[in-house]
Amino acid sequence: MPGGQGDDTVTRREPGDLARLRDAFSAEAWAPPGTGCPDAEELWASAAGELDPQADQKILLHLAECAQCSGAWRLAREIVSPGETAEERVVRLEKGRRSRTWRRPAYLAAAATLLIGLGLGTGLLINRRGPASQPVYRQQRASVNIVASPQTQRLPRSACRLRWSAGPAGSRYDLTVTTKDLDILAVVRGLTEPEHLLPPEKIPRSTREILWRVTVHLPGGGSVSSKTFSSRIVD
Amino acid sequence: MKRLVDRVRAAVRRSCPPYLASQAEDIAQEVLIQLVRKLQRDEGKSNFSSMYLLKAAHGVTVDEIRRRSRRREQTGLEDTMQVHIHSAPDPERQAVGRSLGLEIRRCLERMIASRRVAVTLHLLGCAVPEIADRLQCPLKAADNRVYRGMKDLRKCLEAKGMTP
Repeated sequence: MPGGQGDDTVTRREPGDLARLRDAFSAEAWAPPGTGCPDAEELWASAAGELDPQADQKILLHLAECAQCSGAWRLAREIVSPGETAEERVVRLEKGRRSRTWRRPAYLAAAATLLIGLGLGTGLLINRRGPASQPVYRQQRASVNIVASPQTQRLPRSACRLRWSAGPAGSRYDLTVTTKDLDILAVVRGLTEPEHLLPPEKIPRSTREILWRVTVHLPGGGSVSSKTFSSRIVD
Repeated sequence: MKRLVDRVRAAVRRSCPPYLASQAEDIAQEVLIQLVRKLQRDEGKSNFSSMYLLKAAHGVTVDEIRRRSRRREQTGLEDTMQVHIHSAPDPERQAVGRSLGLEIRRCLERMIASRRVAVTLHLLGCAVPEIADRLQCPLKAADNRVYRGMKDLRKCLEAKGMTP
């Protein structure tokens, strides 16, 4: 029986293979086409937490089978809430759920209010110790916001060192660099330092601007992607 | 219109996975066609929010991924991987990752539904509080499902000779 609470305890127990399992699970580029796949709009709605629990459950069971839809779902989740912390995400999902609940018939809402009121009243009568303290999760505390170093706005072609703000100790970084036309110049995975020197031969002579994006893999599990940064290349 | 085109391109840039980067312009064109059709339907009254554009870009990207995958199934050509392979540091590692992905899914099939969903969300990068919220269950129950599910998954993979 797991003794602790939240992602904190799960990740503390996790061996270091979680990142590899996650990568392999969403390797949709090679996946065979799935069967009975939901359309992109449904995947988006699920990732954004806009579906009712029953419909969401159906989609999630499908994701367990279909690598392509898993990739599409994960993509939608990253687009809907880039850089959102676990806490912010839960607040957003709860807010969405609340707004859907109010669309139900008024008598259901009234009955629920009555039940909650009764429950609260009974709870207060039985337990006078005051409100329980809220658990704090390590991942929620680690609000990671990746920003590019100001020096990366203009970079010499011969010393194109991309730098960004560091994540918590033990973080690893994936970096994707493209031209303005989205031609890939470099994909580097598993960096241990928040910087990377792009070799000059990787940058075509005609390139005057590069776009780059960093994904931080947090030591306790989970990852956060930065927005896309742009750097001017000077000779 | 020029502004809309720029906004669509930016939305596609955000929604396009690296291995589809070379198709980004086609995807942007397809999104624009959809938007123009919508404008015609609404007699030019539509006002596209950033989220709407991102959603449209995501939809077209997903369609493109599925189209390429079907084409690959039919022709046996692995064109989807071209860009990715050129830019990837270790193709052998990726091949192992691919078969690991298949085995993970086979192991998930054997799991009871509640654990399967919790583990799926965990593998998709969700933290336990989010899993609890999505499944509308207490935090401890979500933690338990993820913990036991991951344990089952590792045991199953080990039995198949896969050590992640």
